[in-house]
Amino acid sequence: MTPLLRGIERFILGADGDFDELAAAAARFGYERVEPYRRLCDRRSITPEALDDWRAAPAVPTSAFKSLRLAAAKPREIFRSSGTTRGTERRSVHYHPYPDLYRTVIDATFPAACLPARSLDRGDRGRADDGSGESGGEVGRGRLPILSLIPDRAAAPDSSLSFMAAHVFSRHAATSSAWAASDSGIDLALACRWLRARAEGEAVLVLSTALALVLLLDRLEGESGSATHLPAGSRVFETGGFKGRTLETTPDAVRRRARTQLGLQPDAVVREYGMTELTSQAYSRPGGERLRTPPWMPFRVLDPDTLEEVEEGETGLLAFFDLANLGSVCHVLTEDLGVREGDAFRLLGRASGAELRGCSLTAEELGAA
Amino acid sequence: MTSPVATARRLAAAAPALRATSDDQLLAAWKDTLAAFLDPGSPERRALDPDLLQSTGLSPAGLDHGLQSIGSGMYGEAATAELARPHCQKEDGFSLVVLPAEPPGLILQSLLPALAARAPVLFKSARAEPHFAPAFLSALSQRLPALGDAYAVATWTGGDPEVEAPLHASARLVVAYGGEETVGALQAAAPGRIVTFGPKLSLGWVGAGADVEQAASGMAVDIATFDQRGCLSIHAVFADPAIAGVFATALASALNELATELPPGRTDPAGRAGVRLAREDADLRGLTWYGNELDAGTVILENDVRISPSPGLRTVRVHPAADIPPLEDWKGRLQGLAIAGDLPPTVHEAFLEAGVSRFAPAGALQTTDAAWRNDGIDLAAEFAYGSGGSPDTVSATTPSFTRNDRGSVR
Repeated sequence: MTPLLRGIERFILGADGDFDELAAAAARFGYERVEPYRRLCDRRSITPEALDDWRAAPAVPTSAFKSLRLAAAKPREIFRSSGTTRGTERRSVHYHPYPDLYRTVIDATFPAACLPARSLDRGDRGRADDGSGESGGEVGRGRLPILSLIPDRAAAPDSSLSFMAAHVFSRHAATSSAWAASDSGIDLALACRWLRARAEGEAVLVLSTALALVLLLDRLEGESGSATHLPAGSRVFETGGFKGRTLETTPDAVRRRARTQLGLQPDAVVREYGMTELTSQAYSRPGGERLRTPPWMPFRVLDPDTLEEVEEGETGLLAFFDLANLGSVCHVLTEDLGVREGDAFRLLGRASGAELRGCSLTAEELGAA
Repeated sequence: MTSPVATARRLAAAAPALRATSDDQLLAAWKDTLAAFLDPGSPERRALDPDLLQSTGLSPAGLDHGLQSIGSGMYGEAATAELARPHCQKEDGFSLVVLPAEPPGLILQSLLPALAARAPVLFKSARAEPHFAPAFLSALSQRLPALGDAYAVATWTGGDPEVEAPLHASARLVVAYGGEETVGALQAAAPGRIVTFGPKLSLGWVGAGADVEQAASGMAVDIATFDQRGCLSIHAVFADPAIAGVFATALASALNELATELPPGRTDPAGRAGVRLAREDADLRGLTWYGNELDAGTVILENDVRISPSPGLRTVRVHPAADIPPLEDWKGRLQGLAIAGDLPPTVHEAFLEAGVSRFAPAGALQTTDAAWRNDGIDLAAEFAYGSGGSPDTVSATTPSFTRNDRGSVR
């Protein structure tokens, strides 16, 4: 492990470190090791010294992950975006040399953002013990029943979302947990049975894309016509959009519906914002809309005309400087439009020409089994 | 306010009177109305343009140019010939045409064949552009009142089953323009009696022997018309590798000049962001690109031969290519090809195979006429026999793959 990688990990774990210093070092690391990035800086006369301010480092558009190999070291994981239903467009490829850093990020953010308070109270913190992505075999401290509508790694080995879900399972899933998505589809019958069986008992966690959640709610409605009340404190982790699917609904309506149909409390649904091209994620507060990034991934909202930061409240392109992206490029310019509201941002849509994507296509492609 | 279903019933009953209307009466009303809508100084246009500028976001010059492109070819002999064609709806009944939000004026491409077939039609205007169709139909019926009983326009929220289920159940034919979501939903709602025109894009071809300046100025017009928002808008140009670089430079210059003559219309952050990302992507990949203001045009000299949709705002990629480009992924989603220089027969055949239905010289791609069969589909025949006529009653110009086993539908 390089000193820089170690420094970033310590910063993520909250031990110590100065973000600006680490960011400058990370930007120079990318300049030295990622050839296309160095060429871009050179063409723009941006010297390594200028990278002392991470904001001066060019932000790489996510589309570049489709055509260029952006790797600072030999990859140990290769993540690919899911693309859209047509399957004609190029897919982003994130060559990831530091999957342990990815796991550290998940451990540092997911429990606080997504786990029911009771699980946290039971002291569910710490590092993954095996990193295998397999479900834990024993009910341990802080483990809880988890239902995943996200495919496991066997079904989607190059999905960063499945990597994340597998790690969450390895760290937090009780033996009663279940994967309800595979390479043959989303097993909605299994998912419904699982949910109904847990109407009594301890709080549960459902991992889902927005689209899979809609399919689940449709199925539940069709089967019973009445709500399936989950235990108090249960949570739903929801990520991604609808990716080209015709759904007469909105993400907000889906969340409202989930709360009603699953008998959840208003703060039960947590939104996650992540993408193949980033290692870290942003989360909403439970029940909230606005998304917050962790301290090692500041965001900016940039004017499309100038790429300068806009005033709070103005719409622009979202850019992130993710220290955990050390293995590729840290400064990423997304295709998402957003607006800053204090220390958080709100998503407002996508740039024209951007493929409909996110994290829900896997579920969409699989469809209901 | 009359419901769309009640309106449709009224239209269906107007079929006999419509059949009794002569070609000459129709032609006179059509030409007079169209002339008024192609004249920006006419009372009709003076009344319509403020709303149309607001709904379309086009600049005044851009709107006028766009309407000329879509309408001028439907004015002359082509209109006469179209109205004189033999296809005629023999029964009572109505058809439903779902219009897209853009480009404006697209009702003309389905209205003229419907008139030719004496087929009553209920048009559904998009909520985003609800102005042109009612204004045109109103003006038409003022000139020939019988048409007011046979053609109407309504706007409702797409997907409303209370409105649409009875319409889909009783329409002889549904013709739908629009995005994939709209088209997909309608295909599910009216299976077997629907003709769809889904989202498409167009391309340019600059072959050996092309006059580069002429090709560039012509394709700039094909790109800028309707601010690159129509299915005949060029998104990418394949150019002979020997002249691709020179052509890209000339195209950028032509687009820049055209931004004065046909100023870009209203833009939004999503459009501007899309262009910015395309430029940043090109920068990172070390590609040459040209462009000033984000909305005035961007030309990227692409080294990947695969087609990528443009983010709009007159953004186009020029791909060096001497032979057939990879079109498999785009089969059925390509509309037109603007041509300059030599187009080898094998390349022409490849574009045809991919579904291109319009080949035109550079600069004329978006100026369609009444004889153009969008997607190869003969709408007059479809309107005439839409309720299930036998295959041999359908015009031979309608390709077999657009019909189902009842012969006349897609």
